[in-house]
Amino acid sequence: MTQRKAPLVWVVILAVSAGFFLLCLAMGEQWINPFQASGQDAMILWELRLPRLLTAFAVGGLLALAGAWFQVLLGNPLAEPYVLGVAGSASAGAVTALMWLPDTTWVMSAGAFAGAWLGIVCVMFFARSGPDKMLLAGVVLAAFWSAMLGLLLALLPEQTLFRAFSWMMGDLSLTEVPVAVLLATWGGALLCGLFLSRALDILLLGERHAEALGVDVRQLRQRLLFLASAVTALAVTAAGTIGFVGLVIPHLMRLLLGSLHHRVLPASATGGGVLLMLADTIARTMIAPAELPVGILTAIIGVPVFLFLLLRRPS
Amino acid sequence: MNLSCRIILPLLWLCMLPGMAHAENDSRILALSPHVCEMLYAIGAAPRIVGAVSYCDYPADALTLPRVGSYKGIRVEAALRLKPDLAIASSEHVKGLMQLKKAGVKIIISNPRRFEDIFHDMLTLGALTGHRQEAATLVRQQRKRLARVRQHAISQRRVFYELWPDPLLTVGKSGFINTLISEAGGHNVFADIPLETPRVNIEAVIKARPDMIIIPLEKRNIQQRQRFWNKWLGKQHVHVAGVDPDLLHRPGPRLIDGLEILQRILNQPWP
Repeated sequence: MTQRKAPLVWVVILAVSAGFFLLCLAMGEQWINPFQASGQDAMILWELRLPRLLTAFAVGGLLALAGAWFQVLLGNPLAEPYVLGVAGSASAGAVTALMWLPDTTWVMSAGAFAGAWLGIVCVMFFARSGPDKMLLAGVVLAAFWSAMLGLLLALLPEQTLFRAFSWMMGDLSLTEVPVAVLLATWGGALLCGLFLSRALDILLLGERHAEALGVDVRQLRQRLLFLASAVTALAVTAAGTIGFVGLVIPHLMRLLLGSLHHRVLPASATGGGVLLMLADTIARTMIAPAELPVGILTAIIGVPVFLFLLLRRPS
Repeated sequence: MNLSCRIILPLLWLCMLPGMAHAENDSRILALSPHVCEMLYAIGAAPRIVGAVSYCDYPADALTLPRVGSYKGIRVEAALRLKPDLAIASSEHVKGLMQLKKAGVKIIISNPRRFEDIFHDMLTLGALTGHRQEAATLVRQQRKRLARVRQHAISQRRVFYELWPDPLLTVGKSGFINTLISEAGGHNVFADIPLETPRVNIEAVIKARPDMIIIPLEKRNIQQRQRFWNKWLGKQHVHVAGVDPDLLHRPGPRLIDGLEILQRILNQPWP
């Protein structure tokens, strides 16, 4: 990607995002023109569709940002937000909470948040031993959490099972986290990311180069781990486990814009948001009046796009 | 030949009868589904039940039965220790059922989808346990009640059945609750969805314009749900009512009670 083409790409990204946003807002049980809605249509538009769309956008963006950070942090292209077991511990937390208070609406979100942080604290213990050991510890912990989850699901009463499963497949209609908090976190995380982007670029060259160029690699790693985990924890709390966005969007943006992080991070934050918005809109409308789990659709939409770009740009 | 037909065969039959009755009255039954348990109690065959599964909670007596599993599966060892010779389950796919079969336990499946199936299964259980008479009487009474409900089935209210609020689940074409709603004279607004328990969203409900929302109360706050639906459907358009889920979700002898209650709710004058 040459410097000259970059602004054009940005204009395209923003225009496409805005277009998709309006399209998703208008789509639903019936087509509603956002500029001419009144009465009940307006209520549906602003109270049902808009909060859910903004939640989807923020969660998708947060997952993509976290994915980009984890990929640099662990030096592994296969890394994604859930690689260190945060999703597993969050799910185990959510289901534990559901077991204690099955009739409370916010209980799964609270449990997920606590569980996510428990998972993060466990991984932090291994952060000092370097990325390879941390990755290994994270993967093993993920297996542990998934076993715990299996145990909890086996003990869960029948009536609450489908609530647990729908949360685990990703669900944007149940979110208890206020949209404003999610959007503010999205903005804050992006700013932090931009602030660190130069250091990230240097880290990508290798640890020795980074140290030679005056980057405190250990401190950077710790900050990144904290930031990426915190963002993942919030995303999981808001919408359950939605796979794929965090893995593929950062790669997609690198394919489009090159690997410099002051481009990759904002593009991922936007692209992840748009992908999840689209996926959720299709989940709402594809077999209407019934609904599909959104987690399935992120992969169905994302994989072909990604593979297509991978073939087009062999380098 | 004539003689043998007239005298010997009936005599033979008479000789066999005590033996058969003995076998029937001695059968030790595992009731592996709540509706089966209720059916056995309703036809007076409760003393034959040696084991049950979780949620077999009606009548209250049933709570004292030994438990041999849950909807997830049967604890085969615990079940065999009760020396059953007959197990009645709602599906062949219940985990552990095939092991019981291999151990020599006779397996019967009862998974009624319509009232006729329920009657049929109650008569079968009556024949198997030596309670033909009770089963026949019960079925006769229930048929009468069903006919009475069908005579009055004219409400044509548009019903949204809120199976669960978060995620919002309802009943589609293939579930028997859909049949119940139409038997009671209502119209399930999502009767066209070819799924048993489809997930829908609020917009879909608004578009479907139900004028009655029925909630199987699982500790749900009906006032809160009323406020919620009033907001989206308009106060003058919707009426929210709660029904005991055990009466509507178990295809057993109390389903007819559920149907009558459902019809009463549907025929209520507007509030």
